[in-house]
Amino acid sequence: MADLLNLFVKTVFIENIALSLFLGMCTFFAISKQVKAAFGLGIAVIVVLTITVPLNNLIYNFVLKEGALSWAGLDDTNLQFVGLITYIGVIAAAVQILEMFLDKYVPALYNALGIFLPLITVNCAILGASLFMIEKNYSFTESVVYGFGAGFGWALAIVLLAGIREKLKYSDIPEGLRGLGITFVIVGLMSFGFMSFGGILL
Amino acid sequence: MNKMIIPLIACVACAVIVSVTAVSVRPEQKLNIENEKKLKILAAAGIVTDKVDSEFSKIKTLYVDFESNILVEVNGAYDHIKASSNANSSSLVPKDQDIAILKRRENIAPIYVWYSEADQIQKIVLPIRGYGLWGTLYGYLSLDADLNTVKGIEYYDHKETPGLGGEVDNPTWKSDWNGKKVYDSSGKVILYVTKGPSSEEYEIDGISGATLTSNGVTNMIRYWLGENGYGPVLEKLRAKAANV
Amino acid sequence: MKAISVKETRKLLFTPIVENNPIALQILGICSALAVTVKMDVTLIMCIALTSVVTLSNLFISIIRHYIPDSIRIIVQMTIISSLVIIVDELLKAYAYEASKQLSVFVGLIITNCIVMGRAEAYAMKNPPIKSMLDGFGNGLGYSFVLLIVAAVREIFGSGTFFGMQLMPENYPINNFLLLPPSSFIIIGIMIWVIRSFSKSQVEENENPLKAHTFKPLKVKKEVASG
Repeated sequence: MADLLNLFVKTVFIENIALSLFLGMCTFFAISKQVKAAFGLGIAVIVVLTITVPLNNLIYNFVLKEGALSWAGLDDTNLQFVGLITYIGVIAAAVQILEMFLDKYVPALYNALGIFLPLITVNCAILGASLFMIEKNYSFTESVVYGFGAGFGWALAIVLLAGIREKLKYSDIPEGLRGLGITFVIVGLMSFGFMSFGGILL
Repeated sequence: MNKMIIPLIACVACAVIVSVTAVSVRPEQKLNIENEKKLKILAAAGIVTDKVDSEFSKIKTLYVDFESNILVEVNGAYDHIKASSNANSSSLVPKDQDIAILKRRENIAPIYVWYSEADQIQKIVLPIRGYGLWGTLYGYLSLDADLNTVKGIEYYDHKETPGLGGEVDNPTWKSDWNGKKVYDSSGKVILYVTKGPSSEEYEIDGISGATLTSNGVTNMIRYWLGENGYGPVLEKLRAKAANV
Repeated sequence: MKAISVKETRKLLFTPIVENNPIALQILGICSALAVTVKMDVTLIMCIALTSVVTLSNLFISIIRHYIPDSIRIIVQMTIISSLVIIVDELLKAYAYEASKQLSVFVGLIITNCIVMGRAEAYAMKNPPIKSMLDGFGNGLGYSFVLLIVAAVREIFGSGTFFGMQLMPENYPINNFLLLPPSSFIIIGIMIWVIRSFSKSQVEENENPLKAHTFKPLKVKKEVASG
């Protein structure tokens, strides 16, 4: 149990998927003007990551990994080269199903998250988390925690950035740096801040 | 339904092209991985060559059993890194011993030995690994005939920050290892990575801006060459060399 | 098929480099821009990989654009893009092993690089193959332009080398700030500033609700004091 908690803290702070691994940056910059929207997107990312990372973990361990198909009598098959296309397929399908499910059964949540869901398929944080999960060889339980932690870390980062940007509106910024330019600089400083978590051993 | 035909053809075409490429370059990829490993083992021992295979054939691979600290026979291909994640071929490292943060250690590890014509050990390469700042560093450490003097070190996989912890790949830093001593007269591992430039023969230059990577390197040397790693076997080999 | 004029070709190729840069203006495909820019050689391979993927994906998607039903177009685009990326990934592992090790998962992440999807959706679905290909190539160049500049700054001033060759004097101290990945955010931020100083049309609108007061020194009315 302590191990899983460590993994969670590590994923959220030390290896924050947005500020230490720089994934999901496009949406990170585009949807961080207001805290409200950032919060909605953050929740959507948490939900999708918590579903897709464990799902891809199962697919990797029981289908794609070298020797994983031994239960089907195929000992030497190594399907890792179709990994990328499978993971992205799983993600696209999961997002689509989630969208339909929310639309039908939880319309309130659908109205809040609906517009963000299609954006998420092409968010590299989602695919990236799956790829990192495989690189680090996590077990199924660990992958659930990792998926949730990665999503939580990303959500935390985007809400923080949105908070800063809301205040930033009132500042005098040189013309050319206004908007995107200053946001880049701020994200750089934030991620330097997050680097100070690096090297904490749990 | 007609509309679906072209996308379907496109998908099938993609599948075929991807599979053909993947299968046709796979031998090449396997060769790269094998070659890289051999190159690094040779590099750790200070051999830089184009004829990797012929140089590598001069090496004898022995297998160390950590439970009983004896050399054992292993048949067929054996990947000790893979073995270390398998519960049947590895064991949990107790928390108080786990200074290199391995979690699991394989029961049997390969060592690479150069024998002279008179069957004397000339040099030896030991696989080592341990946690740095961002992840595990995998590498090889090479010792001279006395099994105490370092010949060289080489890392083949790590996730350290390029330019900082990543300087473990820097030739200048690696060259500092040559000639350093691992054990003191009582057989304790004393070699360590210091801060700043090294002055003693059991000190290695610190990596600037990467204290945690430096500590990680120290810890993995202490673990693998200590009593839970290759220490006892090296002791035996040394005694045997003295007897002959 | 209508031939494309030289002028049009030039426009397709060069507007994405400065005027409409995918990274600096469209905020597309930044993720990989940061993690891989510490050394020139790795960055160059990443740029070549991305440029070839976006060029070819635009070409193929544009060829079959009339036959893709709207409802499944995203998945068809994804399939084509992922296939191209897998091929690039496998080829790198076979022929550029060192670089592929350093790029690790970032080659795979080209799939979700918004430049590729973005250009497929915004351009290739509506335009003929050759033009789409040029557009893809141009956007690849725009991406490479930013990445290579960031990498050049980081390598030259960070470790004092260029493509691994010593450029700065021997005793140049390693600049840790530039070697750490977050510095690339700041470099890109400054680049955007430079680009926008030259092309004013890119400057974003001032959203400050108090903008009437900005940049104007307060005028103290002397009469008030005396009255």
